[in-house]
Amino acid sequence: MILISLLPEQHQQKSKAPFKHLAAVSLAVTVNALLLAWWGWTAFGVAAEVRSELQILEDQNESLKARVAYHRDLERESAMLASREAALEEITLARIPWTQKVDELVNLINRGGNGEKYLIWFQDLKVIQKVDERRGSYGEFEAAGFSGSDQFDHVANFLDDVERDDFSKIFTKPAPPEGKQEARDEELMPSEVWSFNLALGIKSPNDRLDPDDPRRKAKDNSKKKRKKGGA
Amino acid sequence: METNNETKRWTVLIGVSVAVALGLGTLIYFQHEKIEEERDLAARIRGEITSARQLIKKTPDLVKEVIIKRETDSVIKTVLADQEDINNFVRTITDLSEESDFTISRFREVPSTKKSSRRGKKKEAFGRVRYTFEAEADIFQFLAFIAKVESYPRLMSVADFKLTSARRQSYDSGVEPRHRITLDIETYAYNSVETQRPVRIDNYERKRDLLVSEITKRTAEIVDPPYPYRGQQGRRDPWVDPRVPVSGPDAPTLTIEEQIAIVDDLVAQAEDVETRWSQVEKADNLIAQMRARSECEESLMQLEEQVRKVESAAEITFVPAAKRMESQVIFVARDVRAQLEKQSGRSQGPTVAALELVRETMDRHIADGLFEAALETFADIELRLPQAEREPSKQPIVAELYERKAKLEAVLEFDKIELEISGVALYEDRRPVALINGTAYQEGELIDTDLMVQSITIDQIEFAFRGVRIGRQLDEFMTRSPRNQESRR
Repeated sequence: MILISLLPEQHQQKSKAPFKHLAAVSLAVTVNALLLAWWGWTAFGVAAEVRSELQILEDQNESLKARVAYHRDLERESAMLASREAALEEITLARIPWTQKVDELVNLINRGGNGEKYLIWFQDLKVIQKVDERRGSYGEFEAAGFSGSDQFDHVANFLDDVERDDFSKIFTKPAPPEGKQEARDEELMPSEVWSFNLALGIKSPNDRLDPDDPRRKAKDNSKKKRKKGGA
Repeated sequence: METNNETKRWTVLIGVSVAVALGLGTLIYFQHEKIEEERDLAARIRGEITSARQLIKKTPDLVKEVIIKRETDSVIKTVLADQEDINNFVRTITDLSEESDFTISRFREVPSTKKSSRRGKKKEAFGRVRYTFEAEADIFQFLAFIAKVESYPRLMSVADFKLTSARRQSYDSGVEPRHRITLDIETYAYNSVETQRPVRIDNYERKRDLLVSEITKRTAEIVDPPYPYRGQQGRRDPWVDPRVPVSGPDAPTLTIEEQIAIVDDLVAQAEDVETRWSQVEKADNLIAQMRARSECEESLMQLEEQVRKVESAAEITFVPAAKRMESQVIFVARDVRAQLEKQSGRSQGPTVAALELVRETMDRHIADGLFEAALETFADIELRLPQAEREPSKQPIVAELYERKAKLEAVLEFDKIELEISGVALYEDRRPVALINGTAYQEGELIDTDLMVQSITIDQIEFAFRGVRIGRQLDEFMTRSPRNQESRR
């Protein structure tokens, strides 16, 4: 049924908005107001603060860029200068001071006394520095020698001295003594002679360095790092 | 109808509200996103700033490093040049070989071969120039040459080498042993990749001056110091057969064992001299030093005397023994003598005991007819005699030594004069006559300005030469084999 009020408008009872509608509107207004306030806070508070901080940081960064570029230029120059030094080090590491080595051998032979310990002389000397890293070979030092004595143990005495002397620091251990008695020459003193071969392998450039040498330590460390990286 | 409108109105209102809320939410969301982005950017920039600051903190050290490297680079460029400069390399080697008597007979370039590298394809940072030289030299000339090569300012290395010893026959015939040597010498040229121009460093000179000690240290570390090769030093060449012939002109008069024993004895004496010299050096007061010095001089003179005897007898023919004598006896004696001479510049010269020892030694030599040896003994002390002469206690002995020296020189000078004595004639009532160089001379007559016939007897003519009376046996003159016999009065 439809009810129609026929009373004049001024006498008609004013229709009231229902409470839930009012509550909903109030809620919508409150929520929107809050959202607006939040947006305002972020837009004009937080964002502005962040932007200003960013501006400061960008300014700082810009001012540092020239100094960083200067540092980088210095680094490049340093690396360029270091590369020649590294090349030189590579050569000097591989270089064997043969004056020292041959001089040490001459000393060693002359220390054999008048022949009581040994009387050694050589027929030749051959030094080949052929590098074969796969085989771990870095060259050979060979000399065909003679021992002026009827006793072969003089050769052993000599090889003992070779092994103990600074001379052999860059060489691998000499092979065990082997020799052959030469024909007796009555025209010469001493008349009895043993021939033998002094054959020594040259160690790798790194192993030739003293264990305390910083260059050797640096190389060993980089080798360890490479191994770890490979593993 | 009214209600419918009302509902519609409310619905629209709520819808609008929700739409506004959603719009605001979206705005807030995007605002937050932007803020987050800006925050991330700020964090990134902050990170960049931190790392830049950390990097910049290292700039002063880097500047120092670059200064040191720039300063040492000039040295490195000398050692490892950019250019191969082969002509200069060959010229340098030739100069070095001449300086060390290393006779190069042939040289040729070795074609470069690509060196295998651990990383396979890695290009070497430097190029190599290798030359093969053929030469002749003994081992000490060879060592002198390679020492020069290895210590040359431009980096050079002795690579492979081969030595074939000289044949025994060559040095048995008196020629110096020269081995045949073939050696490869390498030099290097840096494959320059210099694209970076030097960075400007403010106050460079001042900063460099502050780093002088580090620059010097680094420069010294660039190349290992060259080996100080000191020459032969009395050592034998191990590539020369040290055996001695049993017969022939070089045949030893003593066995090897006897020669070794003589040298052993001399070495022991030389060690004693060295010990005494160390006592002179260690002496803590003047008196102790003088006493030690006197003892040292006496020992040294005895040693020098022994060495002279051994050398004049030429008994040490066994090469190792001879070399040992040279390095451990003669070298030591010379060294101690030089030290004593040096010190004597500040002292009173040789002691009385040393002077007496010289006098005794000279007399012994004179008695044995070894006039040259007597003069050599005098020569050992001659330079220090003026200092000894200043002391009254030493003056008589010094005078005697000078007198002996003058007589010895006169005797040796007399020996050089050619005197042909054909005969002597002795008469009962007349002065005797000698026929010298075809002329007849009586006693008291001058043969030459300084030479006078002093007396003539049946078997001897006595001459006066420069104040020294020298007797000559007649038979010696007649047989033309003069043997000096001094008779002094």
